[in-house]
Amino acid sequence: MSQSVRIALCGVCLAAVAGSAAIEADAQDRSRDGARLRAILERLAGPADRGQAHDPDAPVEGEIDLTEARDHWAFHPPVVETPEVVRDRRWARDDVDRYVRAALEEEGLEPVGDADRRTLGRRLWFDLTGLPPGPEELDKFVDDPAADDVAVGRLVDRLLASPHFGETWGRHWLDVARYAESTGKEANVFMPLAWRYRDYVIASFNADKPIDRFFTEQVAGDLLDAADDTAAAEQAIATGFLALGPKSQNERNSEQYMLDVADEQIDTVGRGMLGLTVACARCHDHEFDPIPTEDYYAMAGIFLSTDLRAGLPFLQNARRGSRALRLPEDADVPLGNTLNPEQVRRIRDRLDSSADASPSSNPAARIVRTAIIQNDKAKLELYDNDNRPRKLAAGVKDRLRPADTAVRVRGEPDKPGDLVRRGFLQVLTDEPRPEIARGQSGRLELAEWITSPGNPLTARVYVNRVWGHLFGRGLVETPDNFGIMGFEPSHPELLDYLAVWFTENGWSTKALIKKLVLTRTYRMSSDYTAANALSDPDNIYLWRMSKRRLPAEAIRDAMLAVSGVLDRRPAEGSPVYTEAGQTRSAERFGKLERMAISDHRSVYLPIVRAQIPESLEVFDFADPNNVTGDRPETSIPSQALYVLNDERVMELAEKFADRVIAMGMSDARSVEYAYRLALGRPPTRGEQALTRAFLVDFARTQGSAASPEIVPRTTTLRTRGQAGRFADRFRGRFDRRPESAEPSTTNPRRDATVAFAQALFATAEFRYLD
Amino acid sequence: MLNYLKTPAASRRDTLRVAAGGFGMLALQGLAAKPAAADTTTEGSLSTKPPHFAPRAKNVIFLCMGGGPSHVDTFDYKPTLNKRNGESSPVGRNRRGNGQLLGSPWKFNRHGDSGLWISELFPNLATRADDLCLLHGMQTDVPAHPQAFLALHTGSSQFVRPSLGAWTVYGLGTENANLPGFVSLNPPTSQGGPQNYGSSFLPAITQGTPIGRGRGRRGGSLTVENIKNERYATPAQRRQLDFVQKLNAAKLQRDVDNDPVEGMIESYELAFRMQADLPEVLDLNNESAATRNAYGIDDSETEGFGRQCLVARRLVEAGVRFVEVTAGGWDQHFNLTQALADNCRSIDKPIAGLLADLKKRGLLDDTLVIWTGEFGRTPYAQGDDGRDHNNKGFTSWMAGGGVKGGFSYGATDEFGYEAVEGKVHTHDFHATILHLLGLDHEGLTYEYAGRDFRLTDVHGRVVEEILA
Repeated sequence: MSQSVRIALCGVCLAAVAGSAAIEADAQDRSRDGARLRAILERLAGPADRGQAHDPDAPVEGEIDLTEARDHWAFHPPVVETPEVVRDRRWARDDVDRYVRAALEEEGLEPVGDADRRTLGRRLWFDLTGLPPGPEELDKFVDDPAADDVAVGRLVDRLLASPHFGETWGRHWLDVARYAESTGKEANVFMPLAWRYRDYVIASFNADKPIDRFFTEQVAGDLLDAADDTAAAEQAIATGFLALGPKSQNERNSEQYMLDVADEQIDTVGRGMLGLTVACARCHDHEFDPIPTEDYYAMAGIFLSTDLRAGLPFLQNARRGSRALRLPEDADVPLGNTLNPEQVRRIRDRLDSSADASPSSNPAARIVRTAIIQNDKAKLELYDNDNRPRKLAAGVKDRLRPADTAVRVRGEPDKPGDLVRRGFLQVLTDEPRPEIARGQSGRLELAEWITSPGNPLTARVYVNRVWGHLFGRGLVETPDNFGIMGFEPSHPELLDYLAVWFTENGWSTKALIKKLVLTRTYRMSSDYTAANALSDPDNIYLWRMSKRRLPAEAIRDAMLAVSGVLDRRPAEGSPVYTEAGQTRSAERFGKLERMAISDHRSVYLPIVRAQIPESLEVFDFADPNNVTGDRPETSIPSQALYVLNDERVMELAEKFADRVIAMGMSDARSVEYAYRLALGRPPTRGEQALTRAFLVDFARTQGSAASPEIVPRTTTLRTRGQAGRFADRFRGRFDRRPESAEPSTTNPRRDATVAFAQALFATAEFRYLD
Repeated sequence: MLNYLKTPAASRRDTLRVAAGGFGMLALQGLAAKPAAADTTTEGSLSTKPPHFAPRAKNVIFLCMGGGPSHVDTFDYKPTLNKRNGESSPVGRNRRGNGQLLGSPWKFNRHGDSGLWISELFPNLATRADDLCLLHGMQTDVPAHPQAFLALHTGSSQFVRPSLGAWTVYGLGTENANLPGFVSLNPPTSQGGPQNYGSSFLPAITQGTPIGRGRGRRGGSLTVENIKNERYATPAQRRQLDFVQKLNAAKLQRDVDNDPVEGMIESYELAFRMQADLPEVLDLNNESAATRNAYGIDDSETEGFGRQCLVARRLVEAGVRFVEVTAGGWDQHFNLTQALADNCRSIDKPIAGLLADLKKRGLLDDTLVIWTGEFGRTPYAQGDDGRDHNNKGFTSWMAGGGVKGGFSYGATDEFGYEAVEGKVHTHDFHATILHLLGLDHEGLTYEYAGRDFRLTDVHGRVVEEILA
């Protein structure tokens, strides 16, 4: 079965190639896909030609045929079909396996064997906690005398209970929530309160908060009853989901700004929770999906009845400020890394004195001073009159007078059309528009509708996200688009089964993950078989575990962990919490680079839009301007330059080397220990020999005085351009991390070990999971 | 069909293994005792390959205007549109009634010996009119940014497919093994992000190397992070890298088939070689004051894009096959009068400078310069001062490398809404670019998952009419 058929299951796309020889040939294929293709081609040939949807002029409003549109697979409620009986019945450990095996048998693919415990252990550690196993921990699992199922079950329970689980899976959700700590776009203004939402997400995953509840809190937490002040604070913080999107702070037209904010919120809720690109319907009926403009403005009414409280300052060049949410005084929320009262007092004094000073005649100096004054004022917003931090968060709350909104003709603010009653998407429900409680925005009703068991999308979209993170690819390959333009699932029955199972099991992420990682499917090896690879090179049908590259965070965290410097405690607040105003000046003086120097896990690094820390950016970190269900995966020279040349990586390599040297072991044992730390396995005999030869050779050439090849670090590591120089100059003052001991330049053996340690960081194996 | 054009993964790796002097040889046969020198020519699958037929151009500079610049205000002169300004639009049936025709607020004039119509927004570029080949009948499938942007770059708006630059490098290799074959300057992270310079199923080494973090904005800095190893002199670094590569090659052998790891191995070699050459190429300090001025580097309004254009010329000069330069921000739904003028000013002088400089250095004959957005804009208004997306007709242009200069091909209707003659669809555009590079778009295929894939899928027509 060819690629074209497997993927070209969407009508719009097929319309474009219908009639081509390749497609006609594929349609003759006798497999399931061939049959599916024939059905689609027949439909295309009929009068309801979906290819027409491509023509932006064709459907005039009201012509979207919702009844017909409801035929789309994802708009039907999931239905559990008993998995077919498979030939090899002993293979399946779970119903999931039965679905997978049935598809494999149909495709004529033979699954590979199980992964060994060492491979599986490393896989589980990274997948569940985002960190490598320590050598001793891994050995304990490998040597566990218990039967496989028992030993694996125990390990999985342990890892799911680790606080690092929430940091890893919370980060997956932050990709979807396009989390960042600045507004992005031209003005790019810091959002100092964003970290509270980040911590809320991490805590929610650690507590295994049911996903229906988690979604409800993010859409309407402020409208829910709260047990106490602390719960009320958490629920308010949850609405940060709606507040943290990219925004044009310099938009001149305030109504345009409001419409844009609402649009961004609709887009994030739509793609993030429902897997639908609703926002396209802003100016016209959706080009592809059955979402009339009316539906868009029905939802827009909800968000336009909602007040943005993002805690953004009113700046001269970025005037669309908004106040922050005040959390209840008695709420037990973390303080974060606030300025101390003395620092706040100094800002106050500076402001007072600048009020007295006469304006400078130099225009440039005036601009700088205005910026400083504005930023100082913005910073003071976070403190009370006694210079103590206020309890604030970025989020939303209902407007005083919620109301329906009018369709804007072609999305223009000044062209109001008919009023539309607030509501949701008609294609997903044939009920009339919901009753919205008087005086409320409708977010609560929206949240209830999103998480209602009758909603065909929410659970499917979520379980598909979880699947994607564990298997490298979603059952639906377009995790943020389950609409007409999205892909059809590779295993539709399995997806439905999981969606139903998930809702019946309390929407528990941990239960779902546990179920999935205990399957045969997850526990397979990633071994290659030529016959399978020929017909299914992308492993769509799961004949093995896919080989996956670690996400950027895991690569950085693993380097920190292996070097022994990882600070496993959650970071307090964020470096952005003590910033205010536009990010521009911080960019210019290398401050952002300094802010990203940290020994904490990557999830705690400052995420400033358009200024993602190099360590994350280079390995395809999610673009926080967009809902990201699957990150791109590149292999570009910048990644090589980063691991081979970056100053910080070199420092970590030194720490790693010193950690190994400090064990005082024999050469052979040292090499073995280093491999076990970095790669989770001892070296092969060949690698042991290769490594020791490298160490001897490297040390010898380094020792030869004729041409010193290693430049002493103290004299050279200070020339990375202006930003780097600023960063270095300030580092001693601001960086709480103790400086590493300066390396000896007279110890060739250590130098060789450092080069070897860095080489291990640079290997493919370090950043790939088998 | 040429042999190398159908290379399944396994035999590609064989090539890698036996490539004379290739690191694969070193790594897999354990001959690495003697480290390769810094100027080693271990170019792997980037080595130059013969085209299908005599090429008209060897290199491409692709000026990508993200957002969709308005054609009726720049290159597509529509007197009727101006005359009927304010009337209800007879074209573009809108769902909620028609918009009003919006005449261009800018004057058009004839330029050069050829007399091409160009608006006053491009006073400098207009002096190069006789180099330009205007394509007025451009069309793309989808009037939405992500889809159209991806289609422009990869031919597909829905599936992950190799980028035009990757196909080019796959087909022709590149002339300087110490630099990437495909460079994208300040690429945007949205609208498909890295997919737009990605290699998809083609060998990973063909993917574009992004330089600069401008994210499609003008004026991002063009430095490469970590380009210099501050700790190890080259031989020591080579020794370390050889060790890494031996471990990587061993993994590749264990995995039997692992394209990403194979790509990673090649990208390490490229990164190592880039350290020697790239800083020099990106350093504009050795350019004369006159040159810097010609590109508008002295003026803050044109500096950003001017630097990118000058770097593009230096990259091409140094043997980079395909250079893309992005300037975003052309999405004028509102504020057309101000924003479009600003945008045009920021690129006008730099592009004129680029074309003049290429010509002066004799590079224009071998270099195909392409200017295009992902689509154009409607002749009817959006709001009082804006235009909506238009995929049915817009203008792109080419210059140099084998196209007719001072030439205009195709036309939209009298309002500039829809292409009515000389239609050039995205696939035709791609077919023509490949043709100019000496590649047959139907013959440049890659076998993947049991099927031969092409940049142009089952479409594409070479626009013979514009060939010089």
